[in-house]
Amino acid sequence: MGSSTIIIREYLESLKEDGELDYLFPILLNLMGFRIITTARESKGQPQYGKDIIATGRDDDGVKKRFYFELKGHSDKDINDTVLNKKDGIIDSLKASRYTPYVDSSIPGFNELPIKYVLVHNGILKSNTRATFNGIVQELFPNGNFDRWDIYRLSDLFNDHLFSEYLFTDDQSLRLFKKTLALLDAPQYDYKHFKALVDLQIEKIEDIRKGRAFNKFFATQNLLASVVLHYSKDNDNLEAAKQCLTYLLLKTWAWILTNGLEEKAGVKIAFSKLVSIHFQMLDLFFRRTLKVASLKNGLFAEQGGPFEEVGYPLRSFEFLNYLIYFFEVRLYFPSFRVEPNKTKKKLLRNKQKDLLILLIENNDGCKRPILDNHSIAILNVVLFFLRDDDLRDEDLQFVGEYLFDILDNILVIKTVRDRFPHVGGEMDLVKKERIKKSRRKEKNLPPTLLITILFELVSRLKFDHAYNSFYEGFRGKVNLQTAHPRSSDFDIEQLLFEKHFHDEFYVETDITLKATLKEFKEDIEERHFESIEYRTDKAGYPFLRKLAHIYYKNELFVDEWRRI
Amino acid sequence: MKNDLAKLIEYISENQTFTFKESNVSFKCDDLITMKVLERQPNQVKVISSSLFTDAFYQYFVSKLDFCLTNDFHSVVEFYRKIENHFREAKKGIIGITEQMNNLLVYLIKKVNEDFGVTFEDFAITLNKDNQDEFLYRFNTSFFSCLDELKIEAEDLYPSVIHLYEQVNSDVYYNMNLGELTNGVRRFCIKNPDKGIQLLELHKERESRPIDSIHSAMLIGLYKSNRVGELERIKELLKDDINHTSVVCAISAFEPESNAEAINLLNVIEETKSVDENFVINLPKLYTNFINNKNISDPEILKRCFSKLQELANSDSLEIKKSTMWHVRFVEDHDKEIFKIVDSFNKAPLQDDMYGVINEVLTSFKDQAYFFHFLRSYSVHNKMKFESKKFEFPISKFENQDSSAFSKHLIYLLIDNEGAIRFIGKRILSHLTVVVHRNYQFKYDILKLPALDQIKLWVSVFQDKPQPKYSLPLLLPLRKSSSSIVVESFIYKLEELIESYSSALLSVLQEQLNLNEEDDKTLLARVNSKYEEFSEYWDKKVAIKELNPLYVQSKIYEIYEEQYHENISSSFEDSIAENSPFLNHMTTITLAKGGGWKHKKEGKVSQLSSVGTSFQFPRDYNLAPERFDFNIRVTYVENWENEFTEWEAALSSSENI
Repeated sequence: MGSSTIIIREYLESLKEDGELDYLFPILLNLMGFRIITTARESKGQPQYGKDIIATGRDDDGVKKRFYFELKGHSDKDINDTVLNKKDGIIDSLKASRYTPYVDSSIPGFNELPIKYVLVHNGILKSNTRATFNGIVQELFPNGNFDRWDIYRLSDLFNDHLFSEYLFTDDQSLRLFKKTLALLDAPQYDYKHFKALVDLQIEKIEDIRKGRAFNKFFATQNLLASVVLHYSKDNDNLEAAKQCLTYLLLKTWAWILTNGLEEKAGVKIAFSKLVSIHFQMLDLFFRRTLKVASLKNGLFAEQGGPFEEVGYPLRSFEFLNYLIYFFEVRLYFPSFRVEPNKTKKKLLRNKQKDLLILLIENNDGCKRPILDNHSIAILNVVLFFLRDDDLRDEDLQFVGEYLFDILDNILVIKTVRDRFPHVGGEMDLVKKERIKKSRRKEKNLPPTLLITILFELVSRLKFDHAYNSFYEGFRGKVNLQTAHPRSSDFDIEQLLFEKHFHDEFYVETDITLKATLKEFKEDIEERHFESIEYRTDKAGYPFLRKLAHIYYKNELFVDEWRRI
Repeated sequence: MKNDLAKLIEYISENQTFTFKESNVSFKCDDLITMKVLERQPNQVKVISSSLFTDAFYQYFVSKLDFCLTNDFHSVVEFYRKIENHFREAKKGIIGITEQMNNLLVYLIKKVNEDFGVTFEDFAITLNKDNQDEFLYRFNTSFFSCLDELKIEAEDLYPSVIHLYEQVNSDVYYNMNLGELTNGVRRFCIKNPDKGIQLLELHKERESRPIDSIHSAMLIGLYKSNRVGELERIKELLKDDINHTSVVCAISAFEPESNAEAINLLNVIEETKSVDENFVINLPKLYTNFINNKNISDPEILKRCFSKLQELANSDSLEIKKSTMWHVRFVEDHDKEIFKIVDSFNKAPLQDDMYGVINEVLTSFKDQAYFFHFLRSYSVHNKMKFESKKFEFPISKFENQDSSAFSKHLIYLLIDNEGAIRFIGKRILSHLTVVVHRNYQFKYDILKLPALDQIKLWVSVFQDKPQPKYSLPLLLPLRKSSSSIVVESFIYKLEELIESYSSALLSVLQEQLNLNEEDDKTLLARVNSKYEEFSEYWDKKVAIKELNPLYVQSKIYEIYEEQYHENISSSFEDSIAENSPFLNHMTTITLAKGGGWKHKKEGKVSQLSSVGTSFQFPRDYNLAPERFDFNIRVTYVENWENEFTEWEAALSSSENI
């Protein structure tokens, strides 16, 4: 048995039935040539009658059959007397499956196909239960139309049809996969092996027009996402899954854009599955964190000590960013291809806005930007609230107070520590070199995109009080700048899903605060900005761009906020 | 007795010691003690300075070393060195040897002068500071200490004085060798005024401009020998600018014997109208010496001197200001007048160079209230620049001198309406609690304060969240206040502070409260209940790895920690500490905090409840350090004049009930 088989077996053994085995198993069936008719996920809440997955396909004897798969995992994965005999145990499931036929007249010929019952469990049949089990099978399925796929069979099938067929076809992939699993929960791990593995899978696709290669590619991406999510859950920490799945999702979309596949229906179906698993991950993430995070200073970590000076705001803005993405994508749940109707959307968004208000009001870290690129989270919040279709008075009130508090905090930090939000990454924010440098008196005014955006928002929203309160505090102390994407030189949209921008931006530097809000507003309104038509939006995934800005820490483009 | 003295010297010579136990010697000490040759000390007997001993000591070594005294002082010095080597080569650190060898040198100088008329100029010019020979200074000391007893003409003395002056003169403020020289010259002139005048003439002839210290020494000697007669010479000398400095130095040491004499001298000085800084810089000494002179009783003269000192203190010259304050500190029994002078420095921000001398003056006050008056006045122009270490001397002196009075003054700083004054109080309190005492408690009974002041006191002390181990011992007496509002408000504040200091606060309470008393038990239970409530909240958060920086931000956490350790260990040299009023309250930090800070080397994460460190940040500080610091700054610009009206109303209504 090769090391890859051991990894696969250990992995499969650890899967739970709900959300894990029933997620992966259809992928396997699909790669084995089965046609899935219905899955357990699709029939959630409906009586399953011992049939988690129904599919059609050819049996070992070459005959096309209806397959009723019954999945057992987690505490039921090993078949013993208890699992066999308990209420809703294996005997009950097999009986239900046997005596409640599934009929679907919409599929021509389906009802006439011979039936094969398959019990799938990611464990073993205990030897002292074997005789009883065989007797029951004999009684229920006297025609021999029954099969049992245990962990060994599943390992072989997953190995043959999924891992070895695509993911483990080269040593490098296997090595990267092993490293990923080994280091997934290690502190300070940057998931570089996982990222390299994802990149490698993308490189490996030779001919995307071949359906099989295409299927296997998405199956592999799903598998990778599923494995990482599974082990993150096991580790009781979804941070790894958040980082890895986001990378995988964005890189996959970048590949789709590169190949101009974003409008292909098949691609959308396959890609939506990735969006879905990413969403599931965030759903779990926020179920675990949001309630506590929304307590008073819930995002503050007492155990962080003095580190919280930077740790708390960094964590807070990151949390805000992903939460807003989650809220945005939530609107498209469950298909991730269609927006909900207006009423449902309004209800949902109002609830989301209330949650956001609670979170932000209880966490000062959400109002204390220490990096210039915290403009991303701040804009995400403001833009989330300022949608004409469901804008409430209290939303505007909240946005006004939020912007006021942010400007006030920036000024307090400037007064007390003599620094503005740092232009650069979070790592060099705390590095010695920067601190030394900051002690030297800079000849030039510090540049800022964030403060420009804040004043622009204040002026566009006509928050005179805020403008007048902070005008003197900032005037002549910073170099206000606006970054514009160089869309004529680069395929900005595709790159947005691939990397952090530097050369891809140019900046406008001749912006100054004017004596009155009105003058400043007029000045801004006269400035040119480019509107980009995004293929991503057209394909039905506008929320994805938000995730890309968040993940690669690329400031939002001007057309995002200057339109409000 | 003669026999005993001989035995003593023999014993000393043989044992190379000037101290011994009576039981160890064969001679009797009693007579020698009566003759003041010996002195009984605890556990030993010591040879003291006496001509009897020195003479016998000399005679003993003349015989022992077979020495014959001649007019060759070099051979005398050789003899002297042999005796010294006899002792010093045998032992180190012989008690009393320096004293006895100095006595011997004086004896030898006087003897060769008397027996052979030796005047030492030939010998003196052979001594040179560049030779690194300590004998230069020993000769300087001995020669000038007995100069007034020597038979020596001015013509012969002058070269020795000038040469030795050149050898011992230096830039140091206190120069004992030069002082011995000028005192010798001064006494010589008092005893031999004619020779003094000759010295003065020689000085005028031979030097292009006066050597101030020598010139003034001659003038002092001459003036003291003939006060009225010499005044004219002084006036005459003042006509020439080059004499101004030496004359003013001389007058400051004239020690007038009457009010009239003092007025004459003051008039002479004022008529001079010199603006030369060297002249002016020496005036403070003159005025302060006159003020301290018990012969001067006329209040007008004192007033005139203080007025002059005030003018000098207000000079534009830093050196003149410093000189003024340097001498003002020696003025005795005039706290009120001195305060007026020193307080005049508070009309503007105090220059860094002035702190040293100002501190000397403040420390010299008999009544410490003046020190606190000064601080209140200081707060006006120095705002939040106050640092305890800049006033460490007066703080330390007055706190030791009368800790109760000090506590009371401090409390009134802490509850002053002016934020800048409260700030000074807080800094002094921090200095006392963190640096000086560790367990500092007010020595003044705070329950004697009016109820409103008691409230103000806890508000002030708790305002910037000092560590419980420092703040609670100061304030816990308030739990026994006669005002129920004070007690309740204080306990409520303790409950609130649980969020800042968690178990650290509880453990201090457990330590400080008397748990045999019902009220204290109740208090502890209330605070403990808040602690449990907060712990529950905290546990919920800690359980979520996704919100834990050790799991999700560990890389930046580590870099920050490394950086932070460096910053802290370099005594807050970084900008964070420099700009943080809160951190500036902390004088010593052994870093790490109780609430879970990963140790750099051990990699362990300590919990808040297991505080094993000397310093702990309040939770509020870590929540938003800049805001915390900003709020502290705001606190210290706030005026409390109308801040406590609601408390006042509540207290007043509770009294009516």
